[in-house]
Amino acid sequence: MVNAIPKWVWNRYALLWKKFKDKQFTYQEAEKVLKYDDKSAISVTFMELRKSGWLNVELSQEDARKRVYTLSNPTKIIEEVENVIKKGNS
Amino acid sequence: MLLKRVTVEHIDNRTGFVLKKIVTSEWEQLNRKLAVNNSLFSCELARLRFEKPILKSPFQIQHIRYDIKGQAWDFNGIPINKTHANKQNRFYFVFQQRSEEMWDILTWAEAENNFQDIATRGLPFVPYSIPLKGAIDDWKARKEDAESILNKSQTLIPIFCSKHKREYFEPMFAQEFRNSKLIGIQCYSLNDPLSLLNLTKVKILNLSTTIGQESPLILGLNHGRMISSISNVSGAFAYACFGCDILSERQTFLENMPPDVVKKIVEKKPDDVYRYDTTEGGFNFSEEQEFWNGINMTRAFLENVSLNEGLTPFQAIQWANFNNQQEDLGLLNEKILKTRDLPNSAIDFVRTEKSRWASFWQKINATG
Repeated sequence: MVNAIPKWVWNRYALLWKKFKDKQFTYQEAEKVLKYDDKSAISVTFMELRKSGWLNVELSQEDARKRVYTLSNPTKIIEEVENVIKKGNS
Repeated sequence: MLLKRVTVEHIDNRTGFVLKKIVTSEWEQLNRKLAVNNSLFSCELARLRFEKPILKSPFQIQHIRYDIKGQAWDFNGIPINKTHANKQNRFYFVFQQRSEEMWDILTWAEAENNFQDIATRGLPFVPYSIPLKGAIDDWKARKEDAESILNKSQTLIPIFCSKHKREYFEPMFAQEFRNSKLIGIQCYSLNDPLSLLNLTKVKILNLSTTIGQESPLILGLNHGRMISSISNVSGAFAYACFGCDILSERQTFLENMPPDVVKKIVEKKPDDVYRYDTTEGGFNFSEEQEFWNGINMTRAFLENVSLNEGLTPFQAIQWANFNNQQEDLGLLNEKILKTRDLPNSAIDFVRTEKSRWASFWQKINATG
C-alpha cells in the first residue's frame, strides 16, 4: 500500500531515483546525492518514504550491521494508486 | 500604548501551539510575530528616506549593545527608536543583549543596576535580567525592591536566560507565568540540553492554559537566525515551537568586532548571504537554492528590487527574509485555527510543507 508523499520528499525521491533507479544503495551513497541535506533531513526523508511505501529497507547481505535501501519503482507506485482509486470507485 | 491583555484563543494539543490574541489600546493581533529589531530598523530608516512603505510588524524590539571598548551599555539609540515605534503605533521594548559569557558572570547587583539604567529612562516596560543561579526566594525579594522604584506607568519585565540553573528555573518561571503580562527569554542553542529542557518546560506551561484565559506574552529574544545543527531551520520557527510568541533574532554588532572580521562581512556577495527559502522553511545559499528549486532565488529576487527602494542588496535580502518568515508563521497560525474542525491541519502542515520544519519537528520530538 502506497501513500502520497509531501512535495519536498518527492523532490528527494526524484533525485535518488535518477541516480539509483531500483538498485540498492547505502545511506552514505544517498548522502552524496542529497548533498545539501544534513543527517536530520535525510533521516526524515527516509522515514517519510518508508512510511508511505516508497522505500524498502533491508539488512546488507555482506554486513548484517548495515542497512541497504531500495526505492519503489514510480510506475508500480502509479499502478498501485490507480488500483486504490478503482477500488474506491467500485 | 497600553498592553491591555493577552488571551488564549485556541490550543492545538497535537502540536502544542497556542494561539493568543494580543490586545493593546491601539490594536489587536495574533501571536507568532517577528519584531522589527535594530538591523531592520536601519532598513526602515533607509526606506523612509525614499518614502517607501516599511514593515507591517506591530512590534519593535531594540537590542541594547554592550560596548566592549567602553565597558558600558550603549543606550544612544533609544530616543530615535522609541519615536519611530510610536509613530508606527508599535509596541516598543528594549533589553540588554547578553552573550552566554555575560550571563555566566551576571550577579544580582549588576542585574539590579542594569534594571535601574532602563527604569530611569522612563520606558514603560523595564527588563530585569535574572542571573543564571537566581532562585525564587531571591527573586521575590529583588523583584519587590525593583518594583518599588517604578512609577505607575512602568512594568517590570523578567528576562530569563534559557540556560538558567535547572532546578531554579521552573518554579520561578511558573510564578512569572501566573503573574506577568510579559516575559522575556534570551534563547541559546537548542543543542545545549539545559536550554532544551528549560524551553520544553516553557512549552508545557504555555500549554497548561485554557481557552479564554489570560496568558503572558513570551518574548523570544536573542535567538539564532537559524539552527545550523538542525538543517538550518528558521530560528523564529524553532523557538516558536517552544512557546515564544514574539521573536527577535540576535543582533550582530559590527562595532564590537575586529576590523578584519568586519571587512569580511561587509565584502560578502549576495550569493554568500543566507536567504530564507520558503519552500524549505530554512536558510540556504544561492547554490543550494539552484540545486533544489532550479533557480537562484537570491539573484532572481535582487533583480526585482529597484535601486530607489533604499536598501543595499544585503538589506534587501534581510527584508525579504523577514517578510517570508512572517508569512510562513501567519500560514501556521491559520492552520492552527483550522484544527478546530480539522485536528491534523497544523501537524500536517509542519510535517509536510517544508523539509526543514519537518526535520526539526522530528528531531525535537525524538529528543524530547
